[in-house]
Amino acid sequence: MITKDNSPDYEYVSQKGLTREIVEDISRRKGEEKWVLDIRLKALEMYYALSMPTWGPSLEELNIDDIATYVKPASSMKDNWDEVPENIKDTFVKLGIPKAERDYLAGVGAQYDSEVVYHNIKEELLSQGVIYTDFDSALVEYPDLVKQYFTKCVPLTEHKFIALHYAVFSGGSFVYVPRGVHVTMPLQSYFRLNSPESGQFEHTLIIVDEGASLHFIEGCSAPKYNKFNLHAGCVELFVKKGGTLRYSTVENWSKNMFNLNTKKAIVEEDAVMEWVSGSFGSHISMLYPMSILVGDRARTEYTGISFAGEGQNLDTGFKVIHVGKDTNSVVHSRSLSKGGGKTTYRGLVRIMPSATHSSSFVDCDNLMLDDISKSDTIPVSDIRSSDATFSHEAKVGKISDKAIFYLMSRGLMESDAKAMIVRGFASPISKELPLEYAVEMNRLINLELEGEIQ
Amino acid sequence: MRINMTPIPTCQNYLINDFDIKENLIPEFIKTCDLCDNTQINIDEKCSKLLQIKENYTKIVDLLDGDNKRLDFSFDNSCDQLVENIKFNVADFSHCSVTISYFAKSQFFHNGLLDFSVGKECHMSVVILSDVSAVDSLDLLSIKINLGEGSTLSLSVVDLSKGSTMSKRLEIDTPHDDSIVNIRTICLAESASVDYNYITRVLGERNVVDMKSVGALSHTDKHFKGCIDFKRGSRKSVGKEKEVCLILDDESKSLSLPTILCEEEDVDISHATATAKLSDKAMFYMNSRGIDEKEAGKIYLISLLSSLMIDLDDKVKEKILDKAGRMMYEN
Repeated sequence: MITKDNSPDYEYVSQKGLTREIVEDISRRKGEEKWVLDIRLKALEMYYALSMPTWGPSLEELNIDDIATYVKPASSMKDNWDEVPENIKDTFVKLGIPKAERDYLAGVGAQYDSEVVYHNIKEELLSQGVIYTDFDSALVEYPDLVKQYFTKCVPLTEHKFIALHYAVFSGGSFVYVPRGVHVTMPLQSYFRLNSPESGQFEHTLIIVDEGASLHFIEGCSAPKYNKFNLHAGCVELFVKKGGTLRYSTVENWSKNMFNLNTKKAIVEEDAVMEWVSGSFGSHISMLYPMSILVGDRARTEYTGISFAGEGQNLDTGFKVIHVGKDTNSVVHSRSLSKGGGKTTYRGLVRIMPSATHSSSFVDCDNLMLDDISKSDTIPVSDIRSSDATFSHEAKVGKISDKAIFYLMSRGLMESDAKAMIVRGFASPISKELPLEYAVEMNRLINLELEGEIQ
Repeated sequence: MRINMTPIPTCQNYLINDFDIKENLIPEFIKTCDLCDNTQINIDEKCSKLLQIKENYTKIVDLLDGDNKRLDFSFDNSCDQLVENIKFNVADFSHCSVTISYFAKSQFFHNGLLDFSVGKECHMSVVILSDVSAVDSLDLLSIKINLGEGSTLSLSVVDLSKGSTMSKRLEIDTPHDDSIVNIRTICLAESASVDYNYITRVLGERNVVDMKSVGALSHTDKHFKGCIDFKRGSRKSVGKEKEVCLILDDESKSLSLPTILCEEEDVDISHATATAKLSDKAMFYMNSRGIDEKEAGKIYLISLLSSLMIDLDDKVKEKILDKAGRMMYEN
């Protein structure tokens, strides 16, 4: 599934570690304006000022001095796959990206290490005023629009790794959907981190204007090396009054990856934010998407699954803050652990006093496939309104003997029965994904289960 | 000073890992000892060190079959500080009960350690009542329980606090097989800060842990941290955790962290938390039967409390129901 690419060509690889010189060098190579460099330098100061998290999985193995923060492939951004260098194109062909674009996507962005190598959008969306480009181009072509939103959803001070992100960010996507425009086919950005001992720090900024709608898909993968890689991307989402945004992610990082991604959405009046998330890869993941429901009647839903195998510690969850009146949030989380892997659901629901008549429902189901794995559930609720309804339910257990017995009585082998139950357990998430991604996710589950129950 | 850390800390800005105690509530004799330099001490460490420094009530209580022990502590002007260390040894095959009550109407400081060692095949009922109404008071209590094989523990914690800062830490270990733990907590708090940190470590096979908590808050900050930790080897064990909290005004805050830690696949664990209010439908029904909003709220709260009062004597039940009714009518 995750293969090493053909020997790649790089135009530039930064020195390992993080210094002011490296940050200034990245900015100079990108030809950025001073205001962008100022943000990078301020973030660098924050990175040094902020401490490492004192909770969650241990990050002791991660040493920023072993990581190259900027790796530029020997290719500029193209809008035609034929112009993308063969060795890079091969990688994306193997991942099925050009075919997916032809079949059912409205636009595609493909990032290889630190730079976007391909970006394209269907003509009909351009004519409707939809902007979908790589983030570096957006800084040049739409500076006023970017300035209005950049760092406003996820501030530099959020945590140490977001400060790192802002200091060395490179690549990512920018999407603007104008008022009332419905993008009926999904847009997709795919992030491939190929270089060993390097980091990927893409920035994704999406603005869905009033009454507009969009489905955005994010895919991630990397080949496996013996040394650690780091992914510290940032996703800033703005859903304006009456808008709808679905953000789907299937992450399949290699098992030498520290995935410390930050995702946050600001959801205005009558707007809807939906998150669909599948986390399969990485050595350690700390990933907690967040919705802030600032407008009255804003809604959010999170549907996520994580699957931790040997040597993996996936610490994931969802955070929501209710500020507006009559706001609603629903969280469905599923996790599977096997082979000594550890999954943790770590979430937050905060209902402010202003969020009258608001409601929140959180449901966590955890399945352990053997007796050497671990599964923790750590949900926090912070309820400050007398007029809000909150409920949380969680379950941890193994595959039911009764269910296996029933399926075996219908002629299934024990291993097939178990695999069927696991796929059924994951189905609330896979059914939320476009068909092709649901198939991919089931394939990932089968791969993860290989040698265990099949 | 921050105390009563959860077994697994979560993100700092969730404000629930530990509990903040205002400096002015800490008596001078504590401020002068070394342990206050550490801002992350849990109550137990602190308590055990404190006891060495200033302990004014130490007792070892041996309980046999049929014993019903009652201990009442009242704070007043002549006695406004209590640092107690009480160890209960329960003999094998005993059916017994312990009721410990704390009463206060004026400013006090309390830091207690109750240590229960329960033998095998016992039926043990423990009731801990705090009926304290005193501003600028600090009420700390640590409870440690070690259960023997095949024993059943029924623990009722009743807090009727007004004006005080209260923190309770409960640690239960079930190292043997076939034990049953029922923990029932009632918290009716007004103008108070309350913090619960319940940790149950399930080590043996076929153990059952059932944790239930009902609270009603008026001008109160409440933390509830309930952790059921299923260690490897706790096969066929069952864990249930349920917390319901009514917030009676917008100045109150309920922070909850019902944690499940699981290293054993062959267990059955579930937890649920809710901040509840009477549904519009139920309220409409009550109104249509001539019951006004306040009375409907009172009936609802009492219905939540009733299943948690089974081990309490009538006098305590009456106190709870009186306070519940008054709180619903005053808000």
